[in-house]
Amino acid sequence: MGAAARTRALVFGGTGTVGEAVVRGLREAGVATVFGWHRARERAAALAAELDARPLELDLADAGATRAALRALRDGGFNPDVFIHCAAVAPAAPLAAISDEDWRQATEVSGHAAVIALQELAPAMAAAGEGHVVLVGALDRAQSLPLPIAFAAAQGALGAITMAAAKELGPQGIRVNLVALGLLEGGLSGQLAPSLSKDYTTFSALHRLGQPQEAARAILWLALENTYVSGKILSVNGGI
Amino acid sequence: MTGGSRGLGLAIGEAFARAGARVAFTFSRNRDDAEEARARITAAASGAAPLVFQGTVADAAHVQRTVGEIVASWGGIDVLVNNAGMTQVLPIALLEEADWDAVMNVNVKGAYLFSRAALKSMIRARAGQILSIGSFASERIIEAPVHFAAAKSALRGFTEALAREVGRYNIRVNLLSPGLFDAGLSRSLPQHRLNEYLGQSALGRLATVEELAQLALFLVSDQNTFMTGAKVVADGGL
Repeated sequence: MGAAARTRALVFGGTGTVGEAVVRGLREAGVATVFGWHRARERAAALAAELDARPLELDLADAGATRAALRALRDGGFNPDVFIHCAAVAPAAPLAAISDEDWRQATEVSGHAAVIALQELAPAMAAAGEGHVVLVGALDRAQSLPLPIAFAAAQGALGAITMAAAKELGPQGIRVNLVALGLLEGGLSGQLAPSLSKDYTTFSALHRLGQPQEAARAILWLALENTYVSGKILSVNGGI
Repeated sequence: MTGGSRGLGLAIGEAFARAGARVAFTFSRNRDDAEEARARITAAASGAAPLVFQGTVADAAHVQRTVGEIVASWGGIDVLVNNAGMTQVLPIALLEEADWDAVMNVNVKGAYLFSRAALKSMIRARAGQILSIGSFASERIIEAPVHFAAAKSALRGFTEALAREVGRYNIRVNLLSPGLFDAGLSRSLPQHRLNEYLGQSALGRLATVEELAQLALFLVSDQNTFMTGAKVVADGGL
């Protein structure tokens, strides 16, 4: 069973380190791409111009605005067969300093935004008989690591959403998977404690951090080529 | 490729050949299957015939001879797929020591012997990919023969530890664990067991060997540079 060509993609977090590599790969594959951005207006404009991709201003911490933006996209005739969620925020506060707003931001941008996107995009995917959802998270929760708690919790929720959504949406031809990334050069990894990067380089099997392009290649395989893997966490972490 | 004469092994061999790889495979018993596989891989490779070796993967002499001839012919091995496997559907009360040993030998010792032999050229090249074929039987509580489930679980530990040991040489080691697919074990299961399985599967169908082969191809390709020690379970959302 070969993979049917996938033609339209929506990417959350398109101006992030991994998101940009994903958008680039999608456009190289000839996939019409809309990418979400929040603060990086100039970066989004430059990326859109360079790659002929469509930018979409999105504050994923605002559920109502996110839902409205996705509905406007649909009403405008853009129904993606691929959805990739690369957006995340990593509040670095220790336990005692986590504010309610830190927690809200972290969980809204990761898990809730993924659920809103699934709610808004799945009906058209189901009607088409096929859809491919790739959530992108950090680390696969198989290890005990010194991560900020709000960040770890928000990322952990993505795994649970992946498994449950794959079960519910699988009969409609929609595959849902999570790529759990290890530490990369750049992006959110740079906001974590420097000692974590050093330990990672020492203890991981490949003894190095990953490149965003390496992450993007795994994400893109699941988004564009995969036909049978669903409800799974693909660990792309250099062996930790 | 160990166990490359039929089923998933053959599909992976054909996919690799279509992608431009020179393919060598082993088989244990059925010469007719091996000759058909040789023809199919040759066709997939636009006329380049595979190297074919008969023997059991748990026989160290066979492993040494096979790897030695491949390295002598091609100068090295870039990719090893530990695919050879066997099982018997037996309850533990009827499972003799010889059955246990046979399943452990083919599924686990074979992976160890072939990996050890192939790694010499990979370490010299400071590059390589080892992919072992596991099973969803090591992922879930299911009705599976205990020796088979134990053997496939052993491959998880083997994969993780070997990935850690040889990562410094830029060698990646991963595990692909399929659910039921349209060859092998699914052919011998009673229909009610198949129906139970499909009822639990989100995608509601068995995998095809071709789509599993495409996944295997990705995992050993230059596209995969940062995954190692990983297991990829392909079970249609079981």
